[in-house]
Amino acid sequence: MDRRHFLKITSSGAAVATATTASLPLFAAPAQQLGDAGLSEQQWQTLDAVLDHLFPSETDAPGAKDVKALHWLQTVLLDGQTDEVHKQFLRAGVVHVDETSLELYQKLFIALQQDQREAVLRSMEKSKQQGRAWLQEMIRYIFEALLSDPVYGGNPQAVGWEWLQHTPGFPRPPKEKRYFLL
Amino acid sequence: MSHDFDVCVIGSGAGGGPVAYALAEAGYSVVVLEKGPWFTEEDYYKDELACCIRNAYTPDLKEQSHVVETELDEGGWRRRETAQDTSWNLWNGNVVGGSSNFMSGFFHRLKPVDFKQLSAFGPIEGANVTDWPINYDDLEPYYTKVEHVVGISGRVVDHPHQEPRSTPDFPYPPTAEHPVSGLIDQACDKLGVHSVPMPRAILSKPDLGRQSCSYNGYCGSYGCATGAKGSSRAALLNHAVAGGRCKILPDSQVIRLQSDSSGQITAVEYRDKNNVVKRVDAALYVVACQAVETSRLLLNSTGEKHPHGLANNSGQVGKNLLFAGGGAGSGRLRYADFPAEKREEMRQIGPFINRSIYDYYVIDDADFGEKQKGGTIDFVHLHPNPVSRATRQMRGSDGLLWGKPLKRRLEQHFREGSYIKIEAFCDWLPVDDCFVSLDSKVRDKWDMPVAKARLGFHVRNLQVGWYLASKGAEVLKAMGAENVVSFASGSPPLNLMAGGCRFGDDPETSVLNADCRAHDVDNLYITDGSFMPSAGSAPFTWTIYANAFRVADKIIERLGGNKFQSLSS
Repeated sequence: MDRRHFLKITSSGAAVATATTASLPLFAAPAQQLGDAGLSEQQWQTLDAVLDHLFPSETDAPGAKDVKALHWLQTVLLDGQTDEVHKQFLRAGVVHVDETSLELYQKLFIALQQDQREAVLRSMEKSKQQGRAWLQEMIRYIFEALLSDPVYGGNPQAVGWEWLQHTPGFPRPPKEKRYFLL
Repeated sequence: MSHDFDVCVIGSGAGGGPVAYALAEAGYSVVVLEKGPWFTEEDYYKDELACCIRNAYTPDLKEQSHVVETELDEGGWRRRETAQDTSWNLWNGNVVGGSSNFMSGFFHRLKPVDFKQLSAFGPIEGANVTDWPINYDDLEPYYTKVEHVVGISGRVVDHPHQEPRSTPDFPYPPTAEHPVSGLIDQACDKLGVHSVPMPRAILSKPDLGRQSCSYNGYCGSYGCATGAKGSSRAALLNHAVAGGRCKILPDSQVIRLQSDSSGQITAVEYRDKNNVVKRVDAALYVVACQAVETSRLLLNSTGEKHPHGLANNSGQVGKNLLFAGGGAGSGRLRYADFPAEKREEMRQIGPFINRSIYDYYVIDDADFGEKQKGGTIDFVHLHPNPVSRATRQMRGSDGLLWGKPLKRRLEQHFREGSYIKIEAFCDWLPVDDCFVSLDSKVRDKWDMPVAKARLGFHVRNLQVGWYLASKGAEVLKAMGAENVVSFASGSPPLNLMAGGCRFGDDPETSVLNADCRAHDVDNLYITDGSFMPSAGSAPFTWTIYANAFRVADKIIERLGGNKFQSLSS
């Protein structure tokens, strides 16, 4: 049995298992573009459009809008417990979306057609920067909004659980026992 | 000489709880220092964000981190600081009761062969295999004690690898079973292997002042809201405190153990919730902080007689760190393959699978090589955590999945079948490249060096892990499962750690003697999994509980025996 062979399997396995990356290097965006307080209104629109593209609403299946994914990300960005480096990473990705849109189509992301939006995000996924990691984080946050207990503000009326026929455990957390209040 | 307490226990998990319980019951005063908060059943909810995503039960890694080193393909070691790379978090539950609050409670005894591995199979090149200084018979009464005091549910069946027992059966009947259990039994019958009910540290009926399991399907990783899970807190510390002789100090971070010119411990220095430095002293000290942190505390506790750390005069503290070696796998039973009336049964969330195979505990298979130590195969439900499960679905064969294709995959994953997981456990062989030391750069918020864990492994772990996992996969295939995969990994399961302060008869090659007292420090005992010189081929918790009860009896004897028994005699 070849030890190196196993090591390779191991390291690729570990990559699959790694979901949260709080410490990713920043996009090469100038700091003044990012701002300390958060995103500009236009950047929020970009982020909203990205989330909608990654997880669109359908008649029988909730999308990012239906599970309040944008609001979820806003909460993460405003949360004092979220690592600052991670917040910068999240914001920098939004900047990078519009940079890529302008580069490819000379328009902001929100002004693009569906197929162009797809091309922009696929281009980010394949870029040498942290585009893929950022997209993974966006999808993961959509899943948090989709499948966490409604007490946290996503998954309204348990729409995500109901869609996927998922049975939650009990007892479920009451408002005063949310994790950040423990 | 008067002390604040008879015994001071540092760490309130599976290693500390039995000592506090037994000593208090025998009439001695005990203080337990726990770095984390004191949560109760009123604080534990089925909240995936709390347990598993925002990590509410472990320290903030920006304030208290570790350093890990993993082997690179090209040789050499990759250094990671866990504050930056949070997927390598070595904390496992820093609350009263420790990580036993969050265990699944898959309980296995070690078997007699585990205690005499070197004698039974001879040396393995590159591994520090040794016999234990005690036998299975020394621990058997304490395994039995754990069944009754912690509360273990199960059913003894006749099979070739059944370890000797002093009682015919478990004190509690098995927890409720899922229909999958019967399917595993049938498949094993077909394959000629023995499907054995897996014991659980979960009460199947109300007793011991605790409620029965509520079968809600969210067990491992979650705190138990009924008290049915046999955590150190629910099963032991609550009783010890109620008896009036055990005091628990939560939110108390031990900084160092102070020692005098004779090398004995004189006091424990700790920080309370308000960050005030305090001291407490006792006649005897018991350390049980889980393997990595136990070694770190000793290494940080230098003194006149212990220039390289407490109990480290032979340089053995932190060496031979162990994890649970092994493999894993899974398969899916499609609901559509069952008759309509069976589908709802299959969809049930709550009842357990609870099946194990021990047929390969010793592998005697000419195709695999010489007769050697193998391990245990467990069959369990896929963890129900929905966010984590969904997250694993986003990778496609050609990049990330998103949009409608991702949504269709989620529907298929969540709605169409029931997943069974294989967890195979083999020895994590003790090697020179798996150890704990102090990091020279990173310090915690109290300015103490953090632990650095080098996580090297022996290739034998992988060979045996693959072997066991593939045997598990044969069972899943015989059940008609689809998408059956099995594999092994050299990546350690960070929640199952032991070793670092192995016990033995020779002070040159071990930290503790057979009673788990430090060779170098007469008033120091270590009762978490650190004492284990080899890992055995099963999760450690039952063994940690049993050994801690065994050591507690040694301590009681040393202090003059059970005070109540002497009064009545």
